[in-house]
Amino acid sequence: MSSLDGFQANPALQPSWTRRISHFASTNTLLFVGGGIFLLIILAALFAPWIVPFEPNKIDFSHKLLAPSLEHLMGTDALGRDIFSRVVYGAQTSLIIGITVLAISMAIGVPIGLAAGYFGGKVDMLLMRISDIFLAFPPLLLPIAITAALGAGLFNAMLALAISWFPWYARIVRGSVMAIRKELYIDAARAMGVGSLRIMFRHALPNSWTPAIVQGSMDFGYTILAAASLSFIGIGAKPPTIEWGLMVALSRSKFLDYWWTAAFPGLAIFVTVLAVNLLGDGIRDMLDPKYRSAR
Amino acid sequence: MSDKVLEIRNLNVTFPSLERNVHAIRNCTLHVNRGEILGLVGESGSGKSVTSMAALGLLGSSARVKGNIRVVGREIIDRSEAELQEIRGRKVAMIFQNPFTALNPFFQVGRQVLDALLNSHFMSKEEARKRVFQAFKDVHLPDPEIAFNRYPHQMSGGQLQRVMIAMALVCEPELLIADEPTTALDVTVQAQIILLLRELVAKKNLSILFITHDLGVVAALCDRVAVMYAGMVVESGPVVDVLATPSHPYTSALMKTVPALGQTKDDLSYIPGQVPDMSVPIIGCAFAERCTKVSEVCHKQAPPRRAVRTDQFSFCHNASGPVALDEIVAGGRL
Repeated sequence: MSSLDGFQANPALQPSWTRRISHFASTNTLLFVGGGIFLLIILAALFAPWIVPFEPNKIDFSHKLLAPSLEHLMGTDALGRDIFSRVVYGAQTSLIIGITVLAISMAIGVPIGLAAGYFGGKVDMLLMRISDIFLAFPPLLLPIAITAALGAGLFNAMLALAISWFPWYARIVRGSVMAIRKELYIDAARAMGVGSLRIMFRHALPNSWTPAIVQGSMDFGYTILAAASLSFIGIGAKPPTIEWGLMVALSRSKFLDYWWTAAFPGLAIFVTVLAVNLLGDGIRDMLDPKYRSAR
Repeated sequence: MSDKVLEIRNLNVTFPSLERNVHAIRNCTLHVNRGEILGLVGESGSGKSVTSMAALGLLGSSARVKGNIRVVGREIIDRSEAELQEIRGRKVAMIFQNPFTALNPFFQVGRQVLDALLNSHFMSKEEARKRVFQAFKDVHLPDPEIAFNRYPHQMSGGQLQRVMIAMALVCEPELLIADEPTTALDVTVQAQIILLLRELVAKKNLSILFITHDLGVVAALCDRVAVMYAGMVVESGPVVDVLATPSHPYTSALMKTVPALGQTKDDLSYIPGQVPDMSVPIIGCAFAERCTKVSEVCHKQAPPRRAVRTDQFSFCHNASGPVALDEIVAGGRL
């Protein structure tokens, strides 16, 4: 009877690495494209000092507002600073903002959502009503209020964004945990004597974080925009910090005549957000076991 | 220590709600001796699964549970979650009807079995891995090394049920509760799983509470059988006796519903009527409404428990045999 349901797998027939990568790229195109662009942005941020032709904060009035040329690939701004160098350095700030805000809001939101969805009842009630308080404010008003209370500055702005953002993750995770809570394998785990905390993080979390990750990748771009907005009204990043949103904001009196001062930082935001969104979709396809192809 | 690995006495489970209380289990009494397979049969809604969930303390906070459940001498009812976790997995394990959903789709099956083992026993990872491979061999999964790294969706139902059995047995429990483990599988695989369970009982001194609605499976697998109706055990006894000479009309009716090969569709028999509404108190015999041998007393008085012959008991007014008192039951064998 054992030979009837044997596995037809032969270790000698494992595909080669190159075949695996091309297979992966063809089955996960979105992930590959988005991930590729995002990787370039990360590399640009990491190796900025070696890439840029000019000191990004070096003021040179003799070269101000120059159109894009071979020397200044993206032109120069009103203070004569090389925009290409500033865009490359700006990648650092934007990535740090995106990652920090998402990390903080997920660190708060995911455990809250897990506990609310898993225990339900009064725990759910209490945690969700607390979250609702943060959702009751218009999207940018709460960060503005919190930043104003904590004091202007990039870090406080990120903290404020994270605090006003976590209820989304709490709600998303709660929703999927509530569905998973009724799955047989949760009962099976309990029947094997596994504790609640372990079930939550070992069984409920891996099966419910896909929507949170997809949401996170969408929010990544929005976070950068929101941080830029805070910088724009003067309570986010301050001028020595190089930030794309701030660059757009600072060029607002010029960009009608000198398009490149706003276009390239804006393009950088656009490309980053697009890449991250593609990456998010790709991650969703890959993480969902139903889409996962046999290895 | 008693020779009973599971002893349920006068179990009552109620699910209270605003309008009505559903009395799902009414005075259910049964036990499983060490090394035997008890088949628990009954139609849908008779309370088989609720009984098994109660035996593990898995009923949620919405259930009101009264009575005694002892698993390997340890009381289950009203114990804290921490105390229950001591028993679950270590003393008693459970396998489920649908092996496709009983495993987490996110992890390789081997890792899940490994996790279950490490959760209940302190041992090194290598030692645990060895034991998982051994368990996979015990349940006749070919190529344990390959099976170990499979995801649930890459395996067939029969293979997954084997993995579930391996997971249940790797922790070396004394009692296995199997809640319709073969219902979702096709007949040939079902036969393999039944052979496997028989083999494991003989090899590992395991006891099984086997829940099913398939009397054919009971005949092939079990030593004793308990027939449940409307939340109570109406007849129990050795399989041979109960199936050959059923003393409760419900058991006889249930046996007539088993289709035989060569039967035409017109011969298909069923039990007219339906299971009584469990939210209203039942006066007299719960089966009276559907019983063919019903008499006046059945509607007025709950039937006593009668010892039809050695080890065979029946809750029926029409059954012959002395009334078995609870005290006698408590002191001796059921």
